Amino acid sequence: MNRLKKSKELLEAASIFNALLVQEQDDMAKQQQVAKAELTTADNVAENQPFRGDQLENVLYGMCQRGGFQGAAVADEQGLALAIYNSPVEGDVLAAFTTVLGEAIGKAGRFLEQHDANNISLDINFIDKAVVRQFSLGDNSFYILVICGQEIDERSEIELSIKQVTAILEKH
Amino acid sequence: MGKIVAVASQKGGVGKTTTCLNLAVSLTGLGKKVLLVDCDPQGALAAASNLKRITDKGLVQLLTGELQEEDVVIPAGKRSLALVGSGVLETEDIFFLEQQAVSGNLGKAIRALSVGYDYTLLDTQAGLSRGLFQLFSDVDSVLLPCTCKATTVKTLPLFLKFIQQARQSENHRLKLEGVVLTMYNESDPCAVEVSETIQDAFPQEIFFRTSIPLLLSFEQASLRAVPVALLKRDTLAVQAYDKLAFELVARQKGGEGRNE
Repeated sequence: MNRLKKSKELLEAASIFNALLVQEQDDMAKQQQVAKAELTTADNVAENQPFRGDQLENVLYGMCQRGGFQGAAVADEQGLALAIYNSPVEGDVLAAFTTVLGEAIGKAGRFLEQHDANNISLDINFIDKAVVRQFSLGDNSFYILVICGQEIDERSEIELSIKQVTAILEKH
Repeated sequence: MGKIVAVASQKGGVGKTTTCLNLAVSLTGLGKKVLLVDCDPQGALAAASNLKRITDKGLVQLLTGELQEEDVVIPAGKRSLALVGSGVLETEDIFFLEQQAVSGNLGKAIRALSVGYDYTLLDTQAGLSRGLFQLFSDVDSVLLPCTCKATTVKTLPLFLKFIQQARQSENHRLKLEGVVLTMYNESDPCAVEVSETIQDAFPQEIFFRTSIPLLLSFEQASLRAVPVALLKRDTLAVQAYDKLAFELVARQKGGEGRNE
């Protein structure tokens, strides 16, 4: 039995079990963080910021701070910027680019038969990425764009922020 | 929202089907609505539950569009339990089911079937395959039955890597529900020693406190194609799965059932 105790398989399994547990705990902590951030509802934002653009920028700012993103934008189907935070280029250019990527989601859906596709990620060199997530409000489509490092898992922050952005857009 | 749990293991004969069936029955005893899905082309779950007497149709016919959901979900008596067979009738059905698993259609179909159930337990095929990997993208957690044998323990690293990989690339929310020791014979010194060895080596919270004893009644139940709870002879066997069900529910409620 000593052989089993010292076996490579047992040690390897133990190390993977530990890694899985650590990952689960990390994820749980992240979920708690997200839930906490969710408390910053659109209502709270609205209290301090009377204008829609300011409220949306506030949401983008919060998202970038929590997620470690460099910048973000919200644009509509026509490429009109609704809010921009820390754009690396001219704001209108970023909004137009957001819509270009947004349209690519629709094309990917058709060409690759991924009809429920709602996000696209574009790796830029080996460092950054631009991620666009499409969301709908009534009959209208909107896009949220995030620029961040390729090592960052941006999904939970984007999903959380969409809820806030949607709540603001519904109000105005 | 309900939870989809895959009962899986690389090693065959560790009690996946027995665990699926009896755990499901015990969960219904806790007031849970449970769906059992036989994802194993061998159809072991259908055989162990007498499902084949009612129908030999199942996932295959659902995925070909030959039958609808309501035709393949078979309610089990008065219990809040329902079963879906694999529907594998011919050799080509095996390949079809694997191909549907790989394409993700099987997972999507199971997700649709699971609506309205507190727990959906998947009895999976032994071994590692592309289909199982893809199926993991549609499940919430994996419950790993493990016998106290060195040969089983030695298959663990590869299976765990498989889960880890699926978690990284397919389903970030995939959880390892835990390891349940099955067919545990406390009068067998080798089994006791293996059990002690792995419990020393692995983190405690991985294990369910309950282990399933090696009892004749499981074999008798299997012969009669019924869950052990219906034999009403061996309270030890029934109690073991009742405890396991309780732990599973407790884990979901916030981890208080974890073996800490």
